[in-house]
Amino acid sequence: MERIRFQEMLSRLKGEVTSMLKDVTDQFNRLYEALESMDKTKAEAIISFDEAINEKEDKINEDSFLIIAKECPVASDLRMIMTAIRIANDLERIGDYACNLAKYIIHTTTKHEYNKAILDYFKPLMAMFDIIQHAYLENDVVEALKVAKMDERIDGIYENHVKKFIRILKHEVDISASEAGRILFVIKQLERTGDHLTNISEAIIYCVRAERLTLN
Amino acid sequence: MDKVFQIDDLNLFYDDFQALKHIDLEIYRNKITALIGPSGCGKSTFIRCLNRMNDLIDGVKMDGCIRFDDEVCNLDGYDVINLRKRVGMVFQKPNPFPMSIFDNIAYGPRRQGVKDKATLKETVIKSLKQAALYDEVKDDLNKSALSLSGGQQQRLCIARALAMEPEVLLMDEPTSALDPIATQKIEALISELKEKYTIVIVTHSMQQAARISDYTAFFYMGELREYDATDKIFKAPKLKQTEDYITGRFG
Repeated sequence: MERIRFQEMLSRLKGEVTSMLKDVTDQFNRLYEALESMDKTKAEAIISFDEAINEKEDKINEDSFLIIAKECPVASDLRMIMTAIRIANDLERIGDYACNLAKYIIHTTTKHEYNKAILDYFKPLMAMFDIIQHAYLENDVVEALKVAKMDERIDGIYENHVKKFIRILKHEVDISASEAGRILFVIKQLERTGDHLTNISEAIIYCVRAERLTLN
Repeated sequence: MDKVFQIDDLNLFYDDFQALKHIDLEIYRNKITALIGPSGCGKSTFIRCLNRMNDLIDGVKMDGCIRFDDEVCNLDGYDVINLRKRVGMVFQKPNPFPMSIFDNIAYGPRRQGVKDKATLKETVIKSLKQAALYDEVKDDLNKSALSLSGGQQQRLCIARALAMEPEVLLMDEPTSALDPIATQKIEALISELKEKYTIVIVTHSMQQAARISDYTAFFYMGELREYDATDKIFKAPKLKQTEDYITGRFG
């Protein structure tokens, strides 16, 4: 095989994306635990870990830039690099959402039974993270396509919650309008997390097949 | 799209060795077509078929059909001199004649019987301008062409080809002997020339093919393996072999 140095740069880049993907998945696992018990210490750990995720995005962008400048990649190699940049961008955003949820845990005074609504998103989200990790590593288009289907479930949950909390907002039963508003804000972030994960699955499909799909 | 050349089932042999196998290809007017592929793949042999330069090589046999402007041009009896006038060629190494800049360019028209000095001068200036060389040499047209730099010599050769007012310009690795700045100038020139001419270029630089051509033909072991719009070839070629070549995995 020719261009050994170039191949090494590409596999290193793939490794960096895989590692960032794992970090963000871990953040969501921690977030679930923190939400279950509304544990502020765990929430603080999530916030302080976000910096490392941001640094990984910077590194992926920097390394991609250097490979493009030095090696003039084309075709599948270029798609792989563009995909790395795009995935890192989505992951960084998802990481911010995890932080916002952690901040909510620290500051909220809302009764726990209402916060439980937030947990509903985690089952489909964690399944999406798992699929994406596998699909990215194995270039598995069939798996990547499943993510869009799961995002529909998240959108369904979100619609129901919006109706529920808007009702609460109007009548201020049990919790105040501002509390309901804050919950709406955090569940919106979880709904957006589903969209970003769908973007990532689109990016994986583009990388493998050179076809641009719009799944959400 | 308007075709300048249509090639059907072209085979070419150097004695017993088959250098081109069943080539079908169309060359489009006012487009730049790049021929790429590893050494020995047949791309230079192919480009020389288009103005019948292979006729000059002993032991070459050819079958199949090449149409130039809808007329079969690879038959005995076809006016080869006229073909080479209409299909000019620029080679890898700049090859100016050992004479003045002016005489280099006037050489072809003179051979064609143009004697009028004013007409010749007009042709020389026009060709030098088209080849983006005029500003650099306008004060020394009588200087020896051999005193020019490599990049200037190559543009002189392009000007010399343009002086014959061809329709097609064949270029066989026209920048491989030049430095990056001279290469850039020739590439810019090629892009400008396609307004008026059809250009077929053989290149070993994948990036050059990607930068300047509209269509790219990938040759491998005498076969045309893939031919498509350059954007498609460099974004997502159909064949794995093309992909492996353009991404530098072999060749």
